[in-house]
Amino acid sequence: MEDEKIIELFFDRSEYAIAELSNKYGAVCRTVAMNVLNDPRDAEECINDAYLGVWNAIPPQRPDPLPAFVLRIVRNIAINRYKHNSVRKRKGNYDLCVEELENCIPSRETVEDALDVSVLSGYIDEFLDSLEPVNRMIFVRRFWYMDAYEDIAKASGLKEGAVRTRLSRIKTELKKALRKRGVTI
Amino acid sequence: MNAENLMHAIGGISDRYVAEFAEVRPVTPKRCRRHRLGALAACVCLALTAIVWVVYNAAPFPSDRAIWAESADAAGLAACMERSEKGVVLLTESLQDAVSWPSSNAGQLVGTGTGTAPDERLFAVLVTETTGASEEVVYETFVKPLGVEEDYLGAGIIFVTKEQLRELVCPEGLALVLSLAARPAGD
Repeated sequence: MEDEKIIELFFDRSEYAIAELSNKYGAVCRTVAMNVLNDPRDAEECINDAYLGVWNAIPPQRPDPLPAFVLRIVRNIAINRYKHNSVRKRKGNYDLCVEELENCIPSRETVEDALDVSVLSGYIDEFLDSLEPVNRMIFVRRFWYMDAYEDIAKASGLKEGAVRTRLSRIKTELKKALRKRGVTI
Repeated sequence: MNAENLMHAIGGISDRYVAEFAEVRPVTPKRCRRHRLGALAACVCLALTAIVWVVYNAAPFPSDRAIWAESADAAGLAACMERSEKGVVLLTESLQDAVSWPSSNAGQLVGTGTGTAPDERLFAVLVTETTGASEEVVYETFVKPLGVEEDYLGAGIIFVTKEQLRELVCPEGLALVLSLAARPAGD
């Protein structure tokens, strides 16, 4: 079903709205939630909460693109749940991704951290614009979707080692780009 | 700023990037260019071999090499139909002329060959049954046993040589008239 029709079901408060949304985007929502939480039950709860969030947001919102709207809600709920989980048996993808971004920070020597996150997101958008499509996909799937390297390798047709190498270079480029923008700690 | 803030900022990237990579399919790893070229060359060779084999070995369709009438011999057909009788195969004059049939036989199939070299020419012959028997009966009792190339049920035509014409036997109960067929339109 097309996104516009799914949104119309939400506007009509149709009982099939969530079902159609789940049919179309359930799998990728589950991927994102599992990447963060690594627990099927937690992931399912997270997705259900996300669908409730979508139900409450539409209307009045008429998101375009719809998948980005839904996935962002899923991701945020999943990360919040992950951070608040009292028991973390092992490091999840979220922690691993945060660690990997450590060496993207241009400097640790400034006084304060006053940069607005939304401005930083804009800089990252510009940086992503400058990347080749494959490299952009690798970065977004690793740090937004928190995919494992193996899955990114399958998606890109590259070997896992090549993905890691490319990502390392991309992070170096990101650091330079942020430094040029005067982003410091 | 710390890595966590940077991660948070990455979470705020534009929707277009999120949507662009929402669905990714596994990609088959690129094969070695040489292997692909080798496979392509092998396919081309195979295709060329098959084409050459078909050209040199496949027989052309009978309609392509058979002798046809320039136009239908309606008058000759009508004349033979008036004379037709059960158990007899009559040939129209046009067909007789085409196969160089001895005129003394009056268009009837009698006797065997005269000992001359076999005539390999193929004739497109229209089969007309005059007693009213169905096409299926004519096909089963007369055409099919001949074992020749034919399109009887479609166009009423069989493809036979002069020798095969000589050997035709009319089934009991049928009266057959054979004429040289005109090539169907669009063939």
